[in-house]
Amino acid sequence: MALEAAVVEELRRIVGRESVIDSANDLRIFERDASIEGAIPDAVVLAASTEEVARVIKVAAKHRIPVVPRGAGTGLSGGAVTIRGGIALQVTRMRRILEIDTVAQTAVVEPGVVNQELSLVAASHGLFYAPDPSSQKACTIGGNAAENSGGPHCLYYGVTTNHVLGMEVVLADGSVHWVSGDAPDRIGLDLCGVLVGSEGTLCAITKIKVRLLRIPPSVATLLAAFPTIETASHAVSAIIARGIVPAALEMMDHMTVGAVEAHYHAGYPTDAGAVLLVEVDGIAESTRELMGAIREVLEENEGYALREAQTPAERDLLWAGRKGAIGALGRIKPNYYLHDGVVPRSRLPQVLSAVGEIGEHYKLPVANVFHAGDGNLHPNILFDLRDRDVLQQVEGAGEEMLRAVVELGGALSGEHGIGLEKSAFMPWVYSPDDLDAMQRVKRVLDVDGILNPGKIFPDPTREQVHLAGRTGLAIEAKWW
Amino acid sequence: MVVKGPHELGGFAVSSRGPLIAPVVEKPATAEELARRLHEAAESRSAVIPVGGGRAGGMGGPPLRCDVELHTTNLDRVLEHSQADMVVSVEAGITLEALQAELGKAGQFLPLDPFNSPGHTIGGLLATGWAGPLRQRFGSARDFLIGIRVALPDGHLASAGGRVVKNVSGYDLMKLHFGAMGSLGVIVAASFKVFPRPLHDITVEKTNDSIEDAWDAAGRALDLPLAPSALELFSDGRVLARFFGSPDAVNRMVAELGWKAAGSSLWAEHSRRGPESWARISVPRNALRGIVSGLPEGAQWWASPGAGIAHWSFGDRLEDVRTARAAAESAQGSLVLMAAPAGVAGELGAWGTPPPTLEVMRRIKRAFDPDGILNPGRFVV
Amino acid sequence: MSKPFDLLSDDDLSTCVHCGLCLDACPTFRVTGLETESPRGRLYLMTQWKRGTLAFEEEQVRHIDLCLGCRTCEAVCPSGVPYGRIIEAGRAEVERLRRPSPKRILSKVALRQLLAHPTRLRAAGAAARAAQALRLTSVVRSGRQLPKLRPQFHRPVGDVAAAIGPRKHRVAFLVGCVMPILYPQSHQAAVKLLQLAGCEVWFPPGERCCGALFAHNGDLDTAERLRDANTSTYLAGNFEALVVDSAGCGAHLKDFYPELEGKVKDITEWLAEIGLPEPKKEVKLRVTYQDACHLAHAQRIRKPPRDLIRSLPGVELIEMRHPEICCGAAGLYSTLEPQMSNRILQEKLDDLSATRADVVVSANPGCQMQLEAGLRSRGSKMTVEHITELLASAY
Repeated sequence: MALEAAVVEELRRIVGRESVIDSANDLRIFERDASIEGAIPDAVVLAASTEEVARVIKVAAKHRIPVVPRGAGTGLSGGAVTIRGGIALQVTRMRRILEIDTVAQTAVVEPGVVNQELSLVAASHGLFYAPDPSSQKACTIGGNAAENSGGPHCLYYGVTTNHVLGMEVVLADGSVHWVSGDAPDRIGLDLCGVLVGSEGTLCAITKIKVRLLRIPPSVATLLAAFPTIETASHAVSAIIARGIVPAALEMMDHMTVGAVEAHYHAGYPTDAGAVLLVEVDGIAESTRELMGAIREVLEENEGYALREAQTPAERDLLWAGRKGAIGALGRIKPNYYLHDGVVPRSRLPQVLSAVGEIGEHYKLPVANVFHAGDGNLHPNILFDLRDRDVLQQVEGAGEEMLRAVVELGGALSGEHGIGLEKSAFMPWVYSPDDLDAMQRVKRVLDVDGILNPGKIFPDPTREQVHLAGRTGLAIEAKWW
Repeated sequence: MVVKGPHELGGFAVSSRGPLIAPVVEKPATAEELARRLHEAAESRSAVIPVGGGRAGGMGGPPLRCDVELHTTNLDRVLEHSQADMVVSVEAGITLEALQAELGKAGQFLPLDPFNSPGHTIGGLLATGWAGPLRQRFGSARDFLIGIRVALPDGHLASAGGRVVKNVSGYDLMKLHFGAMGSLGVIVAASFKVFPRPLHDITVEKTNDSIEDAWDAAGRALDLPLAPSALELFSDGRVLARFFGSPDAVNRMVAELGWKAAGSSLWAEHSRRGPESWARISVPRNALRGIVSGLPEGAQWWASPGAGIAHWSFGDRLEDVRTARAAAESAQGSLVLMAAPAGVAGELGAWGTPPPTLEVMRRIKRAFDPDGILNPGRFVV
Repeated sequence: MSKPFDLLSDDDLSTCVHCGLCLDACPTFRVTGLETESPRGRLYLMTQWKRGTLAFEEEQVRHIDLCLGCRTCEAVCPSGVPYGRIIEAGRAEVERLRRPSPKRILSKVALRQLLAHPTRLRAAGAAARAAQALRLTSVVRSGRQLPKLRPQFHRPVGDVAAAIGPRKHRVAFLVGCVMPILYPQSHQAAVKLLQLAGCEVWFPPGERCCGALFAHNGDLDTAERLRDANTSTYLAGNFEALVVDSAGCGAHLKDFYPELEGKVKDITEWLAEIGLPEPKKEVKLRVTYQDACHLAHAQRIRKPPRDLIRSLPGVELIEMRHPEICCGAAGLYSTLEPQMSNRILQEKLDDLSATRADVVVSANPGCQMQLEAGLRSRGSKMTVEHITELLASAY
């Protein structure tokens, strides 16, 4: 449903003529993020400042138009998909790093700043920003804060919420607030803590103050091959059981290694059933000692072809392979569908064998590449969307895999968010009372429900959106 | 179980308006029972003060009313400790010491070392948000709390998070209840990510002739490539640093510093500090030295310079507290009373200037506790 | 005429998994923040056109026009989307379907009339040089963008330049169409370096434009004609490598000339492979290196040029922020899309001036022209050199 011309005019007066896109054909290009569902926004509005964001939201509130904040659109749970139409509020032009305080080791950034860009700029001061989602080349800090993103190094360093000191946010009524700041122990309720990870349903984020860390003087990165994914899983538990928490501990299975090697030529052993990428950092003494202990554990657990990066370039290459892994799977099939459920680490062997069986049952290739140290799975179900019959199968397999995760005491999502994709599964892990407690927060902060509606919480009234004649590229909005 | 008797709330024997009527003391044995009691209280508009170990009973404003004390002390079980997963779930009334003993059997620990120990319950620590010197390295419990279960005034038990170390399923209500002084509900259980005991744990000490030297020494220690896991600076010029890590790494750091070795029992002793009247100053890290230097001559304080926190035993120097609070607040920080006689808390205000987002916080408070029965007057909402 | 969008391969298009990792590598996305001006958006658009789920309209052609064709996205794409191939096909389709615009027709005619005919191009170069000498360039905008023209590059007699010292290799050298007129000094330096490295250099007679600019602008027919003519010229000779000192031509030869597979070498790639003799002179300069898109992304050559620069005694190589991001030149782009080209250039100039380098070095004439014009407009003292000139100055 197109916005009324008068509303479009109002928006144009705020952000400028060129910064409102309402051409039907152009809007089609904005229907998806990196997940699979899609829905066409009624308008795309590019805001350049907090004030513009606030004024756009005020207009939306007045007309009860849904608003979905959007960064780079690299999210994997449909968080940026305008499932109820409305305004896609694009913050990609708000990409200034406003301040880097090298003494306090903090930075203030606009939401459109690309994750890796911040670390790149901070590096000249010997600092870095720890959360490092695999999409860090493109994803924005605003999106990271909205989703509470993780990344390989979150095993040791913690996820986004552990690094956000404060934010400037715009609430659903268009009011602007700073929540928290760089002093610890703020007075009153920890609004910042709740808003991080609220997936755009409680606020639009317009500035983020983050903690920066000193770049560790020494880093050791090791790649090890294993005969099977199960042996690799045992090695993961064994490392942790030794009392070692590496900076990162990542696993890739045979299929993933093949795809990655084809693009990156990083020297991954393509014969292995699985590989582990292990990194420790700190001062030279500790990385040496820890890596020595880790080598022992790996070898005791059938690890072979251990290869430690000798130069920063080699290390970058090993990581490039890991970080580009999901995209590299496009070499096998053009589409992927993945969940990011988390299981207690010790349940990895069980859940991985369940995932394998489910893939076989549905006759779908499944590639695993994930944050093993956290127990955070990423089973990628590979398929070709042009083969429309496969969709049912993909859907069924994904749901069963997530079911297996939950049955082993796990969580629905470790870092991608619930979004559109998993909202219907929330009752698997939360009681109606649990969900009600969360929704109370939503109801008081967004009375009319205009901020990213249709996300996180199951929607019993969600109707089949009829998409006949639409792109056919995004999967239809109703999956379950 | 219902115990009629003298309240156990130390600091809050009297409100600013005179003696309170002795409240009903309830010590439910299960979370469900606690939720029922809370609901009953809500139905009758009775004011409820949740009580854990009573170690932080002096924190916050004087309660406007107290009809029911709801104790969690009988909820003291370890619900699940998965050693391999390094995750533990406990009921809220378990003491920190009991939990540490359980984790210690597996070579693990929770990096929480609050002051005014021993005797804190987990629920109390979460509700107050207290942390100790180890915050320097591990952050506060906010950073390793992964799941929570809370009894709400409407009688429901609501959980958030889970028992896995990484989880973005739904809103992070752990953060909402952490440090909320039980103003939204009563925490009945919690899950934590736990940590392996460090391979090496060394404490060193330096005495300094002047406090300026002490700050400089602390700064040097914090700048080491392997920063101390805890670093405390005392008003007498003493600095204590604690290093966790692999033996070679820790030994090199200690050698670089050249301070004298000290026993780790110092930390247990340190954590017992809990004066009758004390305050916590929390400011951006680089503002701490200036603020603390502004405290009156002879003030008794101890600070965690790496975290931006100082605790001050202020005695009866109320005017000085006002001055220090103004300084802390103008540095974007706060000064909060950790314990004070009710009259003092009433006069000074326990929390200082409310945040500009107070109205938003009030909306959330009303959504959970519409009748305002939880800890009325004690918190900012 | 074949069916609409026949040139676009659905298999190529469907390798895009919509992950978005390309977004921030795209210069036009970086300045606009819009999905429609990103590689992912363009691929999605072309996919929808191809599959008939979105009607072709002029309005969306804009998004294809605004693509620089720098292929930075291709280098960062983990699923191996052949973006360069797709956008060339997409442009060819667009040229068939769009309403003709005078500007585009003019540029197409100019391309055909000049580049495909060496004598005409040389005449134009001479005219421009004369105009510059007479200070007439203010009349013609594009004349201002041109570098100061020198006497053009001439092939040696007999089309062969002997090795200096013992002959170790025999290579063919691409003279090309634009370089000998705009940057004869780069060619001279390149040939000198090859000779120093022990190469006998052969200049294939009758060689014509490689066709890159045609292919990049949707004229695949002309590009194919030029390829066929050139291929037979090259195959008549005998050489280890066809050495190219213009990244755009090199990339095109590698992608579009199957019969030369494995033989085409960028000058930096080749010199790094065979090695240069010890430099004779110190070059006391702060140097920064701008990756030419068609070298860094299309040919994936980033290390050899840097290694060569670092090997010069006295040179300090300072990396700018994002050396791999396009400067906005992109062949004819700076003429066809001057506004967008300039927005991208401004970011580049900021990054350049932050290095406080004396010289910015690149390996492609288009980048050189764009950077020279930009630096001139800001009154900067920084100079622009082709990498061969910098290297040759050490001998």
